[in-house]
Amino acid sequence: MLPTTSHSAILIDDATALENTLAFNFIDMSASLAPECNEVKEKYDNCFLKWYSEKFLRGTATSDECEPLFKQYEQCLTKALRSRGIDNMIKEAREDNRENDAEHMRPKR
Amino acid sequence: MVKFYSASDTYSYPFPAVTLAYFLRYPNPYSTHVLSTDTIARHFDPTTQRLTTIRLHLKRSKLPSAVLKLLPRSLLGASAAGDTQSYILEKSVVDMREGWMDTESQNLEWTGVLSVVERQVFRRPVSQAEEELKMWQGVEGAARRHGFISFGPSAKVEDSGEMTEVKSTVTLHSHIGDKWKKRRAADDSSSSEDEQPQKMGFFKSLTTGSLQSSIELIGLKRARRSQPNAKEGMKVVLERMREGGLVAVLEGMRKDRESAHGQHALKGSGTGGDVD
Repeated sequence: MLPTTSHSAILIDDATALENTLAFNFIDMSASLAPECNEVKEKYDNCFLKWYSEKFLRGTATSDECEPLFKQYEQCLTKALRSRGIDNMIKEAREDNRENDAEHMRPKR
Repeated sequence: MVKFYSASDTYSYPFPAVTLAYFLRYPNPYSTHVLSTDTIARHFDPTTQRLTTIRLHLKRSKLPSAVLKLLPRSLLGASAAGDTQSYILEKSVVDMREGWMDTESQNLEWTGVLSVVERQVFRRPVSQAEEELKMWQGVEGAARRHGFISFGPSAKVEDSGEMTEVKSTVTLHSHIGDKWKKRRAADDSSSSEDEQPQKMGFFKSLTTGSLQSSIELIGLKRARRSQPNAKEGMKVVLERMREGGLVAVLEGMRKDRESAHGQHALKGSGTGGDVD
């Protein structure tokens, strides 16, 4: 068992409270850069938070359950990034990163 | 030339809470300059239990006046007043099994003038108890083999405590002037006046290296100044979590967002604008 389980329980055990909040309205979190994507972004963010805190942090996640919602959000966002002309800028930065990632995104013990 | 800033710190909150706070850190009262946050890619690997996230933040920023003085007008273009919005790309990997989160943020624009890359590694400390247990198990094994003693099942791994270590590094790198040098070398004969910085005379008085160094230094000062704010912002989010769990965090975010919008309307521009 993961030694983190007891930690995560502290903040996650009001999952019920979270569900209640989710039930009555969308939680107003950080905004999307594209206002037209806000609604689908919030749906996705809510799903992610729930999955992250209830499954991922407890080490019981078997798949990314929010992927279908992410696809919708991504579809909206991709359009928005393209129309703002920042899709290429992001692509370039990500390609540059990929080269460094193998050595970088791994902490040295 | 490159400049570095690095700092080590400890959050007195457990590792899982800190990783969640990282994802939820905007908006907070110290981040009123952050206008939007979008997740542009996310990947969960069930085998390793690692989660990789790429997000895009839009921040309101102001070029420091010291940098403005150094930059030629032709480079500044429309944003001559120094008011800009800047996109920040953030990548993070969380590994719950091994207990670490590795993050990297960088600016997407103006990278020629100054590229700022901020890395943060959060880590669940290996507990004293865990270390001791390993040692004791070794001793126990040896003792058993030698028929001396036997330890009961009472030796157990204790909580690694409510602490998370964080190591931050900011790397600042200016490439300003590199292109002009190349261009001058490439087409020495043709006059491309509109491409040339207007204050060429001034630039000649500074070597490209010292100009880059000055800009990196300005960026470094800024990074140093904004680091405490970034930490305070995380703490606010963590405190909300401790007080009232997720719901409190989300409620707090809603209020911050409202007040950020209010501030924006009043002041028209926000505070700092670095990568965090």
